[in-house]
Amino acid sequence: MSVLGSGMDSERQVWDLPVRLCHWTLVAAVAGAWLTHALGINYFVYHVWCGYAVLVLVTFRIVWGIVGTRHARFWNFLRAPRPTARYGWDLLRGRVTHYAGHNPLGAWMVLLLLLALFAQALLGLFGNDEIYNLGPLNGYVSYDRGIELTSLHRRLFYWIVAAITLHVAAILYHRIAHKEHLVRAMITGRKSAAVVPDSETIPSSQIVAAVLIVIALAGVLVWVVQHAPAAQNFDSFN
Amino acid sequence: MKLLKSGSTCTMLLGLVLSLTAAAQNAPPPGGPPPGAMGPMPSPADRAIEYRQALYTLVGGNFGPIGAILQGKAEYNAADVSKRAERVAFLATMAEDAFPEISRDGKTKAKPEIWTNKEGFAKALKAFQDSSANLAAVVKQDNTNSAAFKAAAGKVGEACKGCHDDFRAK
Repeated sequence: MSVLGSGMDSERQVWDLPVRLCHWTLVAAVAGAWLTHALGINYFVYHVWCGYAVLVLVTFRIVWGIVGTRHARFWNFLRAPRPTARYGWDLLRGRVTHYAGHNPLGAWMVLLLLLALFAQALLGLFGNDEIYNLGPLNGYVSYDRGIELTSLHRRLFYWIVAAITLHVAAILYHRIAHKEHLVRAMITGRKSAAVVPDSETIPSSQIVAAVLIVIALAGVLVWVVQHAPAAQNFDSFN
Repeated sequence: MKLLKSGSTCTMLLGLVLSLTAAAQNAPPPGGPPPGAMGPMPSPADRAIEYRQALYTLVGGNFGPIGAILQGKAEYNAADVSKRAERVAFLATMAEDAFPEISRDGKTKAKPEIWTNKEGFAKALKAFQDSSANLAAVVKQDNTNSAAFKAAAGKVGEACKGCHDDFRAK
C-alpha cells in the first residue's frame, strides 16, 4: 500500500491502536449481528455473541473516551452546539476546516452511534422472539416487558442504519469534496502533518491500559450474564 | 402464575369486591347484559380471537421446551420430546381453522394480510403443518438428540418465524 510509502515525516499519529481496532471490530460485530439476524432464528446463538462484542466494544470506547489518548477523549473532540453549527454552515458553503481529531459534526455522530449501539445491545439482552430464543437477561423482566423491549430492539435497528448511512455518506463527502482520507486515517492512525501540528500528535497508544479495560469489561459482562435468573419458560406454570 | 398460591384469600376477596363495584359503576346501557354480569359478554369476534390465542399458547408451551433442547439449555428427554412433537403437529392441523374472517378485527396481532393474501398465508400455514409433521415423524423414527432432530426442529422454528414476519403485527 502506498499509505506507508507516503513518507513518515509528512504524517503524524492521531488515532491510537485501541481506537482503530475498536472501530473496525465494532464494524464487524454490527455487520455480524445483522447477518446472524438475517440468516434466521437458528443463528441466534451467534447473534448473541455479536451483541456481547458490541457491548464490550462500545463500553470500552466510552471508558476510553474518558481515560484514553488525546484525540480519543470526548472533551477533546466534542464541541458546543454553536461551533458545531458554524462548522456545518461553513461546510455547506464549501469551506472546510481540517481537524487533527474528529471534526465537530463527526464528533457528535461518534457519540450518537456509541449511545445508540449501547442501547441496542442492552435491549437485545432482554429479548424474546416468541418462538424459542431468549436474550440472556430476559429472566429479569416480565414476559410482556420482554416483548416491549424486543420491539424497541427491532425499531432502533432502523435508526442505527440511518445513522451509519449518514456516517458513511459524510466520509465519502470528505473524500470526494475535500480530498480527506478519513478511512485511511482510521486504518493507519495517521493524518497529514499539514492538519496535525506537532503538539497534537500522540506519543503512545497505551495498549496495556486498553487491554486491561477490555478484560475488566468482558469480565463484568460474563458475571452479569452468568448470574441472571433463568427466563420463565412458556409452560412453567408452577 | 404463583398468584393463586401466594395471594392471600383477603387479597382475592378485595379484588372480587373491587371488580364487582367497578362493574356496577360501569352499568351497561339498557339492552346490555343483565345486572350482576361480570362485564359485557365477549362478542363472537372476541371469542374467535381468544380461541386462536389459546391455540398458539399451547403451540408455544409445547414447542418452547424443544427449542430449549436445540439451544443446549435443556437435556433431551425422549418421552417428553415425542409427546411435545406430536402435540405441535396436531395443534398445527387445528391452526387452519383458527383464522375465521370474523376474527380479523379486535384485540389481535393477526395482520389483515392473512385475509387479503390468502394464498401467501395458506403457504405459511402449510409450512408450519409440514415441518411439524416432519418433526414428529423424525422423532418417531429416531428419538434421540440427533442432527436430524435438530434440523427438523429448526425448520419448525423457521416456519414460525416466517409466518410471524409476514402475518403477525410486531
